[in-house]
Amino acid sequence: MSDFEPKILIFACNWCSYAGADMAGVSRYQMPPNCRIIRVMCSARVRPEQVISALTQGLDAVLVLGCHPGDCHYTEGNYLTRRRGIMLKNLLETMGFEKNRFQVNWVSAAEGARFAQVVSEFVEEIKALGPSHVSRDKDTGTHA
Amino acid sequence: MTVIGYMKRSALEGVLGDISDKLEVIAPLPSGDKGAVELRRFEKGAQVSIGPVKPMLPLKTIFLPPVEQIFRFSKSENETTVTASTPITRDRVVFGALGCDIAALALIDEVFLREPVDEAYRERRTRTTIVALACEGQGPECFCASVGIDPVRPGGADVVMIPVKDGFIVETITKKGEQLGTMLQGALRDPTGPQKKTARSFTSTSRSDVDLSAPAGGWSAVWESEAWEDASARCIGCGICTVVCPTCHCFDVHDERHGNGGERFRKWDSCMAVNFTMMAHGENPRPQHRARVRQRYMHKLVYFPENHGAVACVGCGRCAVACPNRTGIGEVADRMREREEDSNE
Amino acid sequence: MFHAIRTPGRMRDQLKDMQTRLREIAAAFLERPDALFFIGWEMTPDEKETRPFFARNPRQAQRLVWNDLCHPNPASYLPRLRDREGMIGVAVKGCDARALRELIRANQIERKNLFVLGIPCTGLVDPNTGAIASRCAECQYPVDFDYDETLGPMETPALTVERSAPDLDAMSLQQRRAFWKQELDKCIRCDACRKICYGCYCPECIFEMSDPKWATNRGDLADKIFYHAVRAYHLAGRCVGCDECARACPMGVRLDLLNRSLRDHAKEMFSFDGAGITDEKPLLRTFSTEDPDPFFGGDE
Repeated sequence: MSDFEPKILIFACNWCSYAGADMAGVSRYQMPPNCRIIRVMCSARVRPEQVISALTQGLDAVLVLGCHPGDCHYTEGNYLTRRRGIMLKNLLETMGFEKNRFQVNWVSAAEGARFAQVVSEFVEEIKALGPSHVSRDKDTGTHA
Repeated sequence: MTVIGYMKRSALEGVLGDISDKLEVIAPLPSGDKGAVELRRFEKGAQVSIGPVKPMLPLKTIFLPPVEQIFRFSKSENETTVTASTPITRDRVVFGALGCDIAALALIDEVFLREPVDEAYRERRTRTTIVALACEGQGPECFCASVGIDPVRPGGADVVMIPVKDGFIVETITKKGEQLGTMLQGALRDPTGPQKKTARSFTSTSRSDVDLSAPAGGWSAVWESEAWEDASARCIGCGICTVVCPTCHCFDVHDERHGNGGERFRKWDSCMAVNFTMMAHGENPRPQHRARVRQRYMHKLVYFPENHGAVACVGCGRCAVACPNRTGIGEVADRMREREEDSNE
Repeated sequence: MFHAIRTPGRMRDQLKDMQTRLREIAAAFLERPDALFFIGWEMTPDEKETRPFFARNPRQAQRLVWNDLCHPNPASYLPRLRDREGMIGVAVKGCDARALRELIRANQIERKNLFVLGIPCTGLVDPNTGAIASRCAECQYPVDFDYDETLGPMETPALTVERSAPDLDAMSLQQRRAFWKQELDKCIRCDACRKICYGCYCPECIFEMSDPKWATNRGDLADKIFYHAVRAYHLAGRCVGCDECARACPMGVRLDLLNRSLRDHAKEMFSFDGAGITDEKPLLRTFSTEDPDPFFGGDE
């Protein structure tokens, strides 16, 4: 699986994790090229449907990044994210996805190094897992 | 109609296996662990479940699949490429088709084989041989006899297999059927006298007392009837009745796009769905639940006969079986005729 | 009839008495000038099952039945009747009452427009097997509700907990994958599971949206995983475990297992006892700072 290059979607919250990504860039950390980042105002804005949709339409994994618990810009958004994330993760496992295909993690605006590390580790994990069992052809959206 | 011989039940899987070298074979196969049966592609080694269980999905699925790709498209800088899909790749034979389902094909033909002809449907129809299983009535829900269908030698079948003890008497009906008959030759014996007699006297237990006739004054007289309110009260609008109905044939065409390309699909649609009549500008001419319920029965019992000369019901009874509330077309027709104060659906 | 196998004669007499009282109470309700109808159950034409029944006058109330085949949930019709003027009577057994409580909390129907008759349920019978329905074998939920009337003390059922197979948690990933492939292959996307559910009352369903178009429809496994994962997830913390989705499925897909798994996880992770038991905020609209954080270290 060493030549497998997964396609990974990251949702990053505007106030912490996206700023963390910026910080990682400014600090010139080496980052794997497998990820597409979508900035959202809060990690709680990510709908579970968006995660399921991504996983069934050709993406190999989804990572949701938010502020550390207690640090949410909107006070409690990331607590909701955590609860929803747990339910979704369990549901995906029940339906036959590997437990790591969907993850939630916390990165603050100051943690450029942590952002790079979390993302790199996530990419490595997904590389080790191989393509998703329902992934479609990346270009046409059809089954290969 | 020619009797070409007697085939042992135990020989069936072997025969189908041999035929599957030349043709794609579709037969009723066990589905799940609850004794259900569906028409699926037969692979060598599979056990056929020919006999007393009616597949929940009707024969129409073989000719009008629930979802089918029409074409693929992709766009590069200056060029758009469209690749048409192939409806089927091999000639096919369907074993164990039931009279109700075969009769329904004649009705759907009226829609798809008229100008403009639906080419995918036509190709599937012409390249498929239909082997009927003479049906003795598959359950208490059956009422094909009420709508004038012969479940033993249904019109539209190419070959008929009539169950006798431990096997079938095989009769060919059409030219296509004769061609298939030659492939069956190896497994056929001369039928004995009693076997022939059983086959001749084979009858069905299908109910003949289900009445789909119009209420007094015709269906137009009940257009605004409160009885529709009653008929739709417990209906949850799930549309299973349209899915399992052998004559329902409405479809929707939609694109699934992805990047610079995509696919166009045709998929079954259901008049029971809210967005069946939804217009692009957001208006829905049939917004009420009761109007959708009325549409389904009016289409079966009024519009289809007006346009094509026959009631679009073949008496398979699947609607009543699949409906979570067990409401069948016969019950609704009864209710509309009664229209008594006490009617309640 | 099948259900005679399970329900002993003594209890059948009891059910019969309850049915008589149900009819009396419904008939009395329908005498009221503001009564629209009373939703309960009647026997299906083949007498083997029951189905919902809208009694509109005291005479029709005599068609109502109560027995161990009353699977449908009469409360699930209420959201679409919310704009009717007048009183609606509804008979509810335990799981229906929990659904009704959720509906009232979610402002799908107003309590003041309802006449609610509570029926103590001793477990239903699966008409196909004659055995106790699996949802009832697993039911241990209390049924607190401000009923207008009841047919007896509404007690928490004390049935033996016997879970129907298969146990997805005991399967390996590969086995689960194979199981769902086999189950979802059967699915024909008819929407019955969605339409029968008391909790599916959105005016516009995500699966019906065309802009944005959420659901794809290629008829493949990915489509069906999307559909069933989203459908199940939307009921997380709201599912009352009535298993109507599985009963309504014409293809016999084990949808109850998805919802059961969500209920199990809610219990395990958040000590959530089940929907319709309290009037606290819904499971996913609230949180605790002490919630587990299984995303770190991978341990749960």
